[in-house]
Amino acid sequence: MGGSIPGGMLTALATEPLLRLEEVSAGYDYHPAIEADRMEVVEGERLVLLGPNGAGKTTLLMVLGALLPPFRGRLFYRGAPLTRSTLPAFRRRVGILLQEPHLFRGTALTNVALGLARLGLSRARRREAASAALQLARADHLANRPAHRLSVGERRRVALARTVASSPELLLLDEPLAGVDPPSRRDLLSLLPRVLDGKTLVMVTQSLEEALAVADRLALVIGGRLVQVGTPEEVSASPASQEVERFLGGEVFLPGRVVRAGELSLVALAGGGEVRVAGPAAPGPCYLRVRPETVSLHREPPRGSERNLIAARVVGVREADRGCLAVDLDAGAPLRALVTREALTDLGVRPGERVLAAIKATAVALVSRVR
Amino acid sequence: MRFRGNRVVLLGFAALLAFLGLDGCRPGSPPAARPPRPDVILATTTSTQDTGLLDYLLPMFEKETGYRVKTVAVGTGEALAYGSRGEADVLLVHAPQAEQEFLKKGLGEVGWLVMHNDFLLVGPASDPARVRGLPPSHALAAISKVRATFVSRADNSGTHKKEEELWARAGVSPGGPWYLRTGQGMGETLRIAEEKQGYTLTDRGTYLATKSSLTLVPLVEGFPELYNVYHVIVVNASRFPTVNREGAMAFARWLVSPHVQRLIGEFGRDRYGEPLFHPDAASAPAGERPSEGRGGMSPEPSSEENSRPAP
Amino acid sequence: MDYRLLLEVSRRSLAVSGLATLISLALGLPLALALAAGRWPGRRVVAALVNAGMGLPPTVVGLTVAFLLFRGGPLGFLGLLYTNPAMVIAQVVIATPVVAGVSMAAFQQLPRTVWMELAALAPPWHLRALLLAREALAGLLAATIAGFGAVISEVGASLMVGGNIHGQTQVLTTATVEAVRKGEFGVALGFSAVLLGLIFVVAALLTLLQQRNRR
Repeated sequence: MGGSIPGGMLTALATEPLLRLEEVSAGYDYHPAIEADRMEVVEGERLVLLGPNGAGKTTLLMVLGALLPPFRGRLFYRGAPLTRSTLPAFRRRVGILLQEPHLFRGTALTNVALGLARLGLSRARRREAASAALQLARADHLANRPAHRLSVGERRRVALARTVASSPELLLLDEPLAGVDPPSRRDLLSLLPRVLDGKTLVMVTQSLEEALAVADRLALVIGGRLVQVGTPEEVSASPASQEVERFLGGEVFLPGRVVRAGELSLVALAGGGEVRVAGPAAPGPCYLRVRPETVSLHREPPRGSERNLIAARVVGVREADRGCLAVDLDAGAPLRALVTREALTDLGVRPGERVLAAIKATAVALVSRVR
Repeated sequence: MRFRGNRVVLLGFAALLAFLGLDGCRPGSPPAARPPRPDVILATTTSTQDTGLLDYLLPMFEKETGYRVKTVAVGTGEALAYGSRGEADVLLVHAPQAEQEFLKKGLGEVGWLVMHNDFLLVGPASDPARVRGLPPSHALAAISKVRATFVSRADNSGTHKKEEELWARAGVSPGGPWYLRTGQGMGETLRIAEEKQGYTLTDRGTYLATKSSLTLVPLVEGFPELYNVYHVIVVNASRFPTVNREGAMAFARWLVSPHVQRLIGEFGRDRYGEPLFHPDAASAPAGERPSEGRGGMSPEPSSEENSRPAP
Repeated sequence: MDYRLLLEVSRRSLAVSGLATLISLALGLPLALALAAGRWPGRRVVAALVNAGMGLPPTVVGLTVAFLLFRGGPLGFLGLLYTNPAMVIAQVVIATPVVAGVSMAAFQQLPRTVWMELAALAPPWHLRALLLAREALAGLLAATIAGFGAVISEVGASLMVGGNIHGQTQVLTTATVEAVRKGEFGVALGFSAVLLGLIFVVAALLTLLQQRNRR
């Protein structure tokens, strides 16, 4: 299942979140690597920690997994702070995949079985569950291979199997696709739904594309701070700071669904309207990545090449880089256009008025969401 | 997880275990009956130990009585020090002056004469200092006069103390490049003397044992000043309650008993052609033999005022 | 050369030092783990003491243990002086810092991810110990070799607390010293050769294990 729950609805449902961080500052060797005032992980959601290299995302994940005690602040699991007595239960229900997972001496199967060690199962049950996990990760052919003779991609798979073997309710994955060649990457990505199956996921990545493919919500970590949390469309529409906007490349993310795949795919936008996108795309939910400078505004449908026209209302105009103007639009979902002063004056629209936003089919990128 | 065994390693450790067999307990038949407190600590000197006499005698004592003797062979000074702290039960030493002090202080209950061996002055056959046949102190005086090489143990052992005594008698304070101090045992000192072709004072036992590898020859022997007298001292149990008085007494009595004295007198004959020791218990003066009353070398009869239990 | 004596003394050396090494492993490995992985007050002080302890002169250890075991000493009532157990005790004191120090370094060499994985996987303590031991095996074997080598070749402590009593507490090292003292250099060499041989055999076996386990 998709698990694409709109952020607003989540807050409305507000029972106690699965995980909550309060006033946390954490790092290694007395030097803070990450500071986060407040963060929640909602049960069943897929939260992606996104940010540039060295921003502190891994550190934050380690705090969430109770692998790194913060200098200050607290971690709450289902509303209760984690203590020495509640920690074992927490550990049993959480599966963590490190950025560079360590496989211990032994075969792939014995390593995966380690993932069950904390559950107190019988040896037979452990073996069974370990085999099943390997199968799930499509690595069962590696079961008796010694760990040191596995390739990087194979190790990832085995480590992933180890992480999910205990059927944890919460999965913390640290850059699971980093350093993996593209075909294996796609492979691993496709494994995720098999493996996720209703669990809560917190994943770390540097790749915007991966994030869009997976996330219900994004948590942006830049320069050692948690700067913004929200759905991709929320975050791209109103970036909390210039750094965020810059990291996102100034793009706007529009949620939608590919209804017809082909050389020119047809995407139905969540906020209403349809967009044709060049290039084949898998049917199903997706995000469109729109660069504001490729959005042109018109009063009337223009003549000419294939253009997608979306009806929108001007929300506001503000100054942008290089003397241009950013026009914030509401097209059922937030949208933004970057235009020159002249263009805007020529257009002659004011906030509140209706316009048509035109996006070239070749100028928009599509990210299929992993179901 | 299966043990990635290396068969060679396993075999190797198995072999080591097999080698161990029994741990190194003392082999030999267990004696008839063990007394309640079987361990007796005997402090003696290295030269005594090195003669092999104790290795010969002790198994007999152990078999007869069931006591187990732990022989700690150290220097005379250390042996007396152990005794003076009650860390040893019985002492077998050969330093009469120090023993006198020991008994005078009431640290020993009894001190009985056991045996004597003697010292010799050995040196190069060429005898550069012309000491052959001279009395010991004259010989030493001659050696120092010509500055002939002399090798001293210089380790506060009984031998060294005897040497110092002789130098004192000769009125000489030895020192200088010709006087070598080794700080070591008799065997090593003899070897060094052999290397340097120098004179040295040695006990007869060690000399006989190393004779075959020496070119040094005995030059002065037989004089009374060269006698090396052994006493067995039982540490005073009323001073040190931890002392095994029964065991110590049993050993001391045994050592001076006629049968054992005979054995002592024979020891070394088959190996060296002559015995190493002369048993003296039979001719011991009144204070140095077991008696009905109190025994001891103390020259002050007034010490008898402290009533001590009869041995 | 009295071969029966040689055999008796060699066995005793191996037994005493072997046992001491095993005991010091049992004491030193957990200590090393606590020092490497733990975070408790005074940890660094203890670590410094352990490292300093690697250089403990055996004679000093012998003297101290002897003072404790003397009849007049606090543990005199045990009557352990001049016995094999006393030598084992002294050798345990000598070997434990060596084992702990080298093992501590071995554990600290493990990449941080090992500790994090162990935290995340939270295996029961015996499995955790086994996993760590296998990960750090090369270093732990080095610790064993170092510990065994230190005690089988020491003479100061064995002499003081064992007394070199013929047939009871004489070991290869004290027998060698005695032979040298008596001027019997041939015999001394004989004892030394066997001592070297024992050290080599044990070290070789452990090295085989250590090198076999390279990834």
